[in-house]
This record gives sequence, C-alpha cells and structure tokens, in this order.
Amino acid sequence: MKEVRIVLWALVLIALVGGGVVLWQKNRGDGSLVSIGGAFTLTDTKGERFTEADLKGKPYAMFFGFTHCPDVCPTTLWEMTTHLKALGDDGDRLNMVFVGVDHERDTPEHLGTYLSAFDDRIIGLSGTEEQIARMAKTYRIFFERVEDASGDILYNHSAQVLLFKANGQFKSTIAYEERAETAFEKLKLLVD
Amino acid sequence: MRFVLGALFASMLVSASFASGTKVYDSEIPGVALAGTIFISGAWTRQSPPGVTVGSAYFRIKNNGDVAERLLGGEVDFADRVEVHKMEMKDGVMSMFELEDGLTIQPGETISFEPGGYHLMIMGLEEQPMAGDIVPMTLDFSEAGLVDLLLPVAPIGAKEFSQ
Ligand SMILES: [Cu+2]
Repeated sequence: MKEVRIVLWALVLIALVGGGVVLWQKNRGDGSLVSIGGAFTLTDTKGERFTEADLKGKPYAMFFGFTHCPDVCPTTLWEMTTHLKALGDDGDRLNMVFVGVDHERDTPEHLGTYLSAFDDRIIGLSGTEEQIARMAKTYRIFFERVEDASGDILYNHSAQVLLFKANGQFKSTIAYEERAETAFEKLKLLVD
Repeated sequence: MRFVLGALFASMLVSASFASGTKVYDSEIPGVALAGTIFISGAWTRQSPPGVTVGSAYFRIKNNGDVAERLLGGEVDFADRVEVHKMEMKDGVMSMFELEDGLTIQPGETISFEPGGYHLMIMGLEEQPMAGDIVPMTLDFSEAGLVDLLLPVAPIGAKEFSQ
C-alpha cells in the first residue's frame, strides 16, 4: 500500500513539474513549445546586412559551423547541396543558411569563396564575435573556440540543422547522424 | 575488391622485402600499406572546400603483432602537420581534440578512422589535394617506424571514398 502511495505522489509531482515547464515555455510568448530562433543581425557574403526578416516568407534550414572544420561542416553542406539539387525548383522555396561561427576567419569574403563549392542557393552569414554569440543564444546553438597545443584554432559546435517554418517558428532538426533519406524527407515536408 | 587485391599483393611483397633484408614494405597501391605487423587499408582523404587550410584522412589500422603499437602522427609534403585527432558527438555537439600522445592499437586490434570519429587532421595545407588525385603520406608508428601510404582523394564533403 505504501508503495502505491509513493508511486501516486510521484505521478502528481511529475504532472506538476511537467505542467510547469510547458506553462513556462508557453509564457515565453511565441506559442511554440520550445523557444528556438528569433531576431539576429549578421552580414551576408556580399557584405550586406542580413537579419531574420530576410529569411521570412520561405521556410528555412540553418546550420552553424566554421569553414576550417575538417569534417562535419563540409559533409553536411555537401549533403544539403545534394538535397537542394534533388528538390530541384522546389529548393527555391527554401532558404538554406550556413552561419560561420569563427568570427576571425569566416569573413563574408572567405565564406563566399568557401561556399562556391556548394549549391549557390546556400546563404553564408558572418558576424562579429558579439553578433554570433547573441545569435547562438537565441538559436540555442553551442559553440566554443579551442586553441590546441600547436596554436591551431578549432571550434566545437552544435552539428544539427535547424528547420524553421516560413513565419520563423521552429519546426524540427536534422541530426548529424540522421540518414540522408530522412533528412531529405524533412526538407521536402518543409517546402510542401 | 581493389583493397582486397591490394592487401594480397602487399602481403606477397612484404615477404619479399623481409627476405632481402631492406626496410619494410611501403605500398604503391593507393590506400594500402603493410609495415611489420601493421596493416593499413581503405585509406583516403578528401578535397577541402576552397580557401580552407585543413583536411583529414581516414583508414583502418590492424595490429597483427603481439605488442601494442602507437600511431604518433604523420607527415605530408603538401601541408604543415599531420595530427591524430578524435571527433566526438555528444548531445548534438561536435567536439574535436588532438590525441597528443597518439593512439594505441592493441595486439590483434583493428581501429577504423572514419568521418565522425578518429581522423588524421592535416593542418596548414599549402596545396589542395584535388578529387581524383592520389597523394602520399608518411605515418609515424612507435614500433613500425615510418610507413609510406598513398591516399586517393575523394570529392569535397564526401563521407566515404567510393570508386
Ligand atoms: Cu580534427
């Protein structure tokens, strides 16, 4: 009997905490369960100011990385390039964004050169240290600058692609480990 | 298939070089090398996007001997340094670090270097290996010493090497 009471109280507690979390998130204002996304100011590869307003009207996929990344960034960008090609004209109804978190090396010019190897619809964005940090916080992206013993700078960073609806509402993510087919289905659903 | 044939060929050659008492075999077959009890196969690197000065290389290492081997690093003539790195994914965050003391391969053990895990990090590229090229690399092992290897170059963003 005592066990049953403990279990019941535990359930009540879970319900209360759970409800509180949902309420707390609802109170954040945008109505979505988890608040990811929002305002940012960065610079595109032509050196023009670029904000979240430039993305709205089309659903968008966003990936954060750095150009001197040996593995995750070029493989993800190549996969996105393949998906955009497979989407064909439907790919035009999607904004695909790559944000370079390495404020020292990922300059607009350098990002432009770098992205020339990928689908030309991918938008490359650079920012100052402060702009990038603020955006990462808004978009719940983790990144940290690491200097190794030989003085090389590397970044540890979130490796998922964030997907947003045309109104800027966060929809879902594509994880690094996810199969290419699943990723493609998610992008297709996003533009439908 | 090509790697299997390469392996066979390499093992034939290694016995020859042992017999002649010269240094251990350095393969001329791309992606394969046999040195002492270390067998490397499936080696490749990939073209880096324009403007990037880092790259990475992948392979499988098998230690056929009865002592532990350690991969300490490597050298290429087209870049500054080659380091042994490990990449890890945890809670969606990619982190990467240098294994400063190298990587130990226990007797009988096979370790795969592949995207998302262990890799050789090529730092300070002076020349860009291009997709379709075959580039040389020298690996440095604690027991086997220096081992030459040829790496076929995969296209930008490739997750594996395919013919
Ligand atoms: Cu690395």
